Amino acid sequence: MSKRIEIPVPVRGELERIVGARHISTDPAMLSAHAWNTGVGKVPGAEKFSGIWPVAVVLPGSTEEVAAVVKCCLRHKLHYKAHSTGYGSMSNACSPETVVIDLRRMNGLEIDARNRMAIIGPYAIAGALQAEALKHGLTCHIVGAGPAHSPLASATSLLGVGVTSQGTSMNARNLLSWEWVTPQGDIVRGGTAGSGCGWFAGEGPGPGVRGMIRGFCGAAGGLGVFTRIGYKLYPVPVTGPLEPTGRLPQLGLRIPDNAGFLHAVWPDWDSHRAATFELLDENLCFAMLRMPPDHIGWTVTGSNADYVDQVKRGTLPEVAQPSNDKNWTLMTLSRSPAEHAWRMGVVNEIVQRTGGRILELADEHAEVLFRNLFTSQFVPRVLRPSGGITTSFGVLDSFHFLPRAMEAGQECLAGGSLPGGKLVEGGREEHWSWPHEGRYLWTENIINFDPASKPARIAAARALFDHFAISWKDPVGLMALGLGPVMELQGESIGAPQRYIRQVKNRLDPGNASRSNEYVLPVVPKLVATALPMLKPVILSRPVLELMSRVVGTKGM
Amino acid sequence: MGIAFIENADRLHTPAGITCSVDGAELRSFASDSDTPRGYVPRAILKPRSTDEIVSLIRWANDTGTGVVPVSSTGRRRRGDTVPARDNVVIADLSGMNRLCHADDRDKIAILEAGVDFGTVDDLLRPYGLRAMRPLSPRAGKSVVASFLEREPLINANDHWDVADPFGGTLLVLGNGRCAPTGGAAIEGTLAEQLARGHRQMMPIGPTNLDLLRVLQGAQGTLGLMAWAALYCERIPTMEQGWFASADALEPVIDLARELLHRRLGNALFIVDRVQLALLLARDAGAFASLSVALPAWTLFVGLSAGRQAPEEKMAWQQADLQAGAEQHGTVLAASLAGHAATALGQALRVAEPTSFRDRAMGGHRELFFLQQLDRAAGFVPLVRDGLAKAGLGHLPLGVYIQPMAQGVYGHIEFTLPYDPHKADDTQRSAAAWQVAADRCADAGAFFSRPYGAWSDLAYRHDDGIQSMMALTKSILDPAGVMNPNRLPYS
Repeated sequence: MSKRIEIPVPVRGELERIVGARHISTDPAMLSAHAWNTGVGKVPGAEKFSGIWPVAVVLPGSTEEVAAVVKCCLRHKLHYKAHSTGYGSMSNACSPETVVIDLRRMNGLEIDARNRMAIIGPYAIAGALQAEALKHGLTCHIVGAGPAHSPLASATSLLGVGVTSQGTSMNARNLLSWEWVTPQGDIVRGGTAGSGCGWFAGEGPGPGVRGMIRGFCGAAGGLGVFTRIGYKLYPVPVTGPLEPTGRLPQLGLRIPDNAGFLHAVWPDWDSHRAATFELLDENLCFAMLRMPPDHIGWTVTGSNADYVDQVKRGTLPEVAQPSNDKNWTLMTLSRSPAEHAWRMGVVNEIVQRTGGRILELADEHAEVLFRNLFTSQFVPRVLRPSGGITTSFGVLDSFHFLPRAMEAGQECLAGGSLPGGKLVEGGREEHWSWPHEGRYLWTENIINFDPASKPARIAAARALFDHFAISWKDPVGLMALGLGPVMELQGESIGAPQRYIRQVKNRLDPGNASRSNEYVLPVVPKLVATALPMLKPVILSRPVLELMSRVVGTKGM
Repeated sequence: MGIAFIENADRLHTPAGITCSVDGAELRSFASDSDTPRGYVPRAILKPRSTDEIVSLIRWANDTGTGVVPVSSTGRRRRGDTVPARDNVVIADLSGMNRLCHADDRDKIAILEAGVDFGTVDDLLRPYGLRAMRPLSPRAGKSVVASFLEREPLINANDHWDVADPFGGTLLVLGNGRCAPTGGAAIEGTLAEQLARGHRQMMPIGPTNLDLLRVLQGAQGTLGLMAWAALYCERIPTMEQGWFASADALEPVIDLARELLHRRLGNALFIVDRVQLALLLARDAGAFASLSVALPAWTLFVGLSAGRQAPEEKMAWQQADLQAGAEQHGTVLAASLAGHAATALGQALRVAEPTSFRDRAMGGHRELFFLQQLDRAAGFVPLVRDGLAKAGLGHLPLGVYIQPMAQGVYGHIEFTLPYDPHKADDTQRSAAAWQVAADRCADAGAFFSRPYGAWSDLAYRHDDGIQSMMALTKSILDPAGVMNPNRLPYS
């Protein structure tokens, strides 16, 4: 932990006047909750706490209070960082002078069912939003982080992909109108909200300036605070809560009428890919998900002990057998028996014609898998074996790349997840794959490791770094993690986006008070900027990658 | 990159290699359009044929302080966005960049240069079993890329997930003279190298923390140009039919449209009143006059299609669901109206003609369009009708077109006022009444997402900080201010 800075009494007084005395804390016990350094995407160091703790945590209750807090921080040369649900450690303080703006009091959630949208605040969590939306025959996109995440944070500030993206898109495209407290503490409303016309559209009048502050990824807290958005919802032929089945931890959902839920496997990736193009052709499925078989095994068993026991006894169900890795879990949703019959008939025909087969699923397994897919509950399962995961790849391109992505995933894990490896034991690759909107492939290779083990952390970091080297040597679509410092290496070969992003950052936040480690570097000396692309081969050489892995595995990231 | 210059007859030093016209009549044709009687005459019309030539042109403009107004369409223009708003401007005419660079039937995506127009695009795509998504009956000379860049609504409402649709990756040339690949195009290598590796430029967003496609959409050429774009297409259906669902009031028709959108039923779907439908169906003034009284007050057009997978079964359940929905919402479903088959209209919508269908009946038209949610659409109709009546223009027909967007989250609401441009009184009075109608709609919540001409004042009167973001954007992407100067209020 870095040397703690005490917030001056007059500054604390100012903040108290803005948010109320009970909505500010400097208690180390409270601050520790905002310095937890695990979560998705992080390779922690030897300790699970971040080296940097915030100077205070404040809980504003309105957009105006957020703006006032930001201005107060600027006046007193403090930094600040927005924090919604804090699922990932992207919301952690990046300097010891940071005031964390915890947005949990701003949990507004209003469903506009006729117009299939919601107006939400930063702490309207996805699970609550889905439960409310389902009352109206609607659902929401839930990112891979699961129902506890903030759709606002995801839509404005991070990535926003999730296992139902085939039917519910991704959050960069689900964001409608937006309200934003700029790094200088000004309140800006974009799209229709800025014209007082509602919250339904985010672009205009004229240019879609949102594109300057939110691209494939948002600024991760590096550009002020988003406080309210319009958010697109998706109709489903289900109204009200779905019927639960099973018992904790193996809770399931009864599969609704006119819904199909199948698990199909193919003998090789070429036939799997051929089937995929046909399955996408007429948007037959609401969701399509490829999981590594070991992760399916973690889902259909109630505990790690149960999973290991079944592996040893050879009693895992067929869906979790390692040989059934070329798979799709397919969910169809129809509104009538005739539509259902057409969808299921066509799906079955495609699977058989392309050399695949549909596995038999026990009801209890089907219901657990259905629940986890429909409500995006998989993350606790994936974290269950070790508590540490990071990820890699992205692709975001044609399914043409699926076989190559699988190979590349295997290359980057390099046997680390096979028996005797330093990562959590699993398969040769650990790709989670799904389509977006019937169009392109998203696939991420999960790197699952024991965060308490230094060799495991080093192995995880090595796999992560190797994925950059592999992707740059022979691009496998787009790299999802081409962010922040990584873009300094790559940017010049793809139009130099980092130059524009840096200008946005420095013009809007010249003092870098809205500080984030996941956004662009505000200052890169010209010499360094010129040299970095040339040094890329050196940086990606095996000795340097090994060295960086050791540093990250020791110090954390 | 070094740029050589040639000196033309008007002593305008333009970049070498780029075709340049200084023909007086051609130059003057750019100084006005159907909605804009007077603008500035450009100094030249430059006709780049490649991305490199576009880059040369923009860098030359930066070096010389010359303004650039991009134009990709041909034929009769309107809305004023391609009329120079200051002197010392050249036109960047991209209409000659009209190649289909690539098409992939498996991923249903094609790469088109900026000059490919709606008159030819389906012919180019047909060998690949594809066809373009499109707005409502665009004119033949309208650039496909420009249409989507200007956020023209698609009739393919169920495929309009987001305002960026149907774009995938694109290649922009910004006002600073630099190329900026966006989305799936922002990857190492030339386009040819990318295609050879199997990339299909399918991602519309990015790269990284930037989304310049979204920024340039709606910018009216004030920030940069688009050289080419990957565009999602439709696979040509195996079976296709059109249907009309009609009612005396707008609300039941909207309710049915909403239901169909929730079911993702229909490859084309839009709402029109009897005047707008008559404009679409009639070939001449006589037919328009009779149709505009014979047709139902409000009609939802629905195109049903089926692809390669069990098409008969798919059509059967879609028809049954459409029929049930129409009955449930109190609309009358018909295969034809006043002797015009809906299926034939669906086919006609794919044939782009040289002039806008809105001009067919009376020779000219005024348009007023904005965004609002579908359940608020009905409230705007009496506002505009009453305004016209008060202006003594109640005798003119008023067409209404409502296009659900973002899969029904909101709609494009458009009013069309056909008039005879040779009747000076109607022309003058309708211009004034139309501005009043725009004011009244703005007061009632109309969002002018595409602020052409006088709507710009309405669009920005509620500025809630967005203009400062626009100024920041302009200063970064077009720091010398060469792109379509004075067109939008950046400062």
